[in-house]
Amino acid sequence: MKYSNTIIALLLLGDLSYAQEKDAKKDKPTSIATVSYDVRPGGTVEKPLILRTYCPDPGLDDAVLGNHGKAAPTPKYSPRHGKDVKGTVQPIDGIPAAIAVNHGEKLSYVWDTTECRLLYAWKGGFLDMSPYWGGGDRGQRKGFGYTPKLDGVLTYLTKGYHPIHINGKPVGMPHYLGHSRKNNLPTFRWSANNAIISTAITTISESADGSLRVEYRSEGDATISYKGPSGRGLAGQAPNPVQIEQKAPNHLIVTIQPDPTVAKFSKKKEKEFKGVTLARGEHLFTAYSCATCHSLDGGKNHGPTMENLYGSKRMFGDQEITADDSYLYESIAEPNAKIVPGYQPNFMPQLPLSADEINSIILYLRTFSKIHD
Amino acid sequence: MTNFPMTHPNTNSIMKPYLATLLVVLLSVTTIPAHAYLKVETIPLPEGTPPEIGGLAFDPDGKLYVATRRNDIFVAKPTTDPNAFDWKLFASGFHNGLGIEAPAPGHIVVSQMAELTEAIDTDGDGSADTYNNLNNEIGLSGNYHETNGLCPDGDGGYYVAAGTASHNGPTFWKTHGKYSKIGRRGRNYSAVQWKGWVMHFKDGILTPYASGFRMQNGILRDSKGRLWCGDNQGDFRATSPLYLVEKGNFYGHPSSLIWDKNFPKNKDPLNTPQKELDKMRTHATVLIPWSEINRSCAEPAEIPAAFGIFPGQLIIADNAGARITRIMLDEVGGKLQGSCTHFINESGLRTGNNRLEWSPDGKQLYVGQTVRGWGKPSEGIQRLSFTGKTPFDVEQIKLTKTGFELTTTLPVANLDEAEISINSFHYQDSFKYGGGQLDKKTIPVTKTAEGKANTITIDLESLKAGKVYHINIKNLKAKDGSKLHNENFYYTANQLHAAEGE
Repeated sequence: MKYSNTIIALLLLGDLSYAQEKDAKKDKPTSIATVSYDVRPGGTVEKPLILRTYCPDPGLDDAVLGNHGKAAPTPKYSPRHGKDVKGTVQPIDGIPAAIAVNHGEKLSYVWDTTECRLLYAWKGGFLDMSPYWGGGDRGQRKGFGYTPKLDGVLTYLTKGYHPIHINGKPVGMPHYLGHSRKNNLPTFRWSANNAIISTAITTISESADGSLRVEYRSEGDATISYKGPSGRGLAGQAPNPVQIEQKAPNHLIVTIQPDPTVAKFSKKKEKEFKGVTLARGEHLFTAYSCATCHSLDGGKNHGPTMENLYGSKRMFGDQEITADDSYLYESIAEPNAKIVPGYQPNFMPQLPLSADEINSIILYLRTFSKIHD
Repeated sequence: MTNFPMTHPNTNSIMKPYLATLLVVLLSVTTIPAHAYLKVETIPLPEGTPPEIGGLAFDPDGKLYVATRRNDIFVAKPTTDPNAFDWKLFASGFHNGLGIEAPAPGHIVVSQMAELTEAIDTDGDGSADTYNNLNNEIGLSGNYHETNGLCPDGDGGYYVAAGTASHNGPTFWKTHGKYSKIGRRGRNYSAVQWKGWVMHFKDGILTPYASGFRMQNGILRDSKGRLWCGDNQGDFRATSPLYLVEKGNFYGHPSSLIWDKNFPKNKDPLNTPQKELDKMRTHATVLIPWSEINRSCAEPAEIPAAFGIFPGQLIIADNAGARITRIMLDEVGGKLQGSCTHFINESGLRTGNNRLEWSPDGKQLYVGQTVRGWGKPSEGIQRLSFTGKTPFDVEQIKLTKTGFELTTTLPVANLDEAEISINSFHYQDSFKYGGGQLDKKTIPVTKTAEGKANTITIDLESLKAGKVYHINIKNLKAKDGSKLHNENFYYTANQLHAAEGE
């Protein structure tokens, strides 16, 4: 949410793996569907992709998201002991109820149904859905960082309170009514201050730089005006240059020029781990949400519990096997190698883990067992 | 914790025998047994579409609408040939739509993550052009687990089943709807409004209906107007339950209480002693053994008379097993309870069974499947129909004052040769994930006898309220020679019949 000026990362397309992936997807079959297994979906100018999903938060200020609830770090909970334990769990960045739209390379934007406004726009790509949808056809969500990622260069980021005034007054609590799709283009309808407003967003086709055209209309006789960003904490943050055309008291068109300086992104650097450590094991166990299927408290779930697993003995056919390092290594590296009686094969994914990572997880699993050595 | 091998052990040599076993297991799964009474057909979705099925609904014209996880709603008129469905895209822009209804042709209602949405094809071109937000007062924290199920209320409104969030994922810093710091705590939590509730929506107004749910994935209003949902084994759920949902009741998972205006403001739901929760809650109508019968209860459905077998009985999908559970309700002391067994177990059915929807003529059961995120994909649509060959099975189990009365589908040939054994046990919910079958005891059978109209009575040495009775029947044959289709039945005896003179 908060971005530090010292950590500024431009969203560029230089990711090698992405380039390779994109080449590989060229020959995908055409489908009537709007999305496929491709984790980088997209639309065109003629047929924009309207994607309802969790959306990234590229550093929106509190005034923009004033109608949202405010989360806080929460005590870490031990399901094994049924109580809070040392440590906290941090919320992550994301917009829960927004709509992401892609018109191809020139325009992507996020319009929010909670705030009823355009939050930001970008060009280049659209969204990298892999943290949320998972790679390939498997659908493995990334444990604690599943917000999709912006793919491209941010060109507009809204700031401050709602830019529209209705009958001379700021927008109070807006309410999303829905949207229509004439010629595949969404026009969002929302109500505030007893008026119904519609918003349609397109690019200026003749503009090479990807200027945005945001058209507002009010239904009935409510007057609308564009006041631009206002609010606390905006000092020193120049808004995108805009042109305002008041066509009628209830109709206005705002043209927003892209501003490369908004392409700041609070990309938190992921903690880097090296070697075989308990901390790395715990991090991986959490990151891959292993506890979704493997309880830590003896409870039966989709996979066997981790409680007292290490060092325990189990039967496979008439062969007794001790759950030691090599057994656990095999079970993580080749999940279907041995299926504990009473469980089903194919539930556990084969994760892309290095030997150090697997051994770190084993270190972590040992802590749930009375038999540590 | 030091000095253990860090190298990759040679897994190949250890693996081989198990791979062979695994192969045998997989092969046996795909072999359809001769006694199968249900035909299973697989219906493909358009090529390249991740067929992760969140919802199925027929409109009054008999068109089938399919909601998928990632964005789209497809529609097709079903064909006899399962491979001949002519799918069209009806609507898009849905975030994990896990409930869908089609009240009119070209008009759907979808419960997606952030809202209850109506999508209408107003110009009749076959695709929706108007999307209305019917209600978005159920919050959304940004957690991945906060999905919503849907069913009609029979009067133009809907019931929405809002699941809790999971501690295996975070919330966002900014939430849709107000955030509760206390509600955020725990394993499966309710950081924003109405997570863990069944809500009622009618005429634009959303009202709380019942609380105490964990992950009630799917909800049904049956032909008698009763509301049902399952729940998933986990914290405060020792096993998979089936609940009769009634207004104002609390069903045992504490997290939802944070949003209950009658729950004391100064109390922390999560720290409420288990004994207190046990007193407050309404018990499951049927407790479904997790490993034996249903690992992850999804949508319930009621078998229509036209299907041809087990009319009026409830079934409930297993999202984590290649099976669907059949429920046999019984009324004791004016209250519903009952028993469960398999409706179908493997026999060509895939796992991931999430949604159940009957064809308009009631002859086919459409099953929407998805194993999402935590398993190898098993997903898509399958269609079940009755072959006409009645299996020899137990159709109904009634509690008597002295034991049970079982009704079989066919006349019994050899009750004297059958081995009937009965165990009792109970479950105890707690903050721990799931729970075992406690205090397991063999209850001696004192007498078995055949009654009129395919009934068997079983008398027991003792009966106790609050127990689950496991009835195991071996070597029982029908007069036509067929073997018993299911051998294991689990009866939840919340209540006993009053003794004579009471």
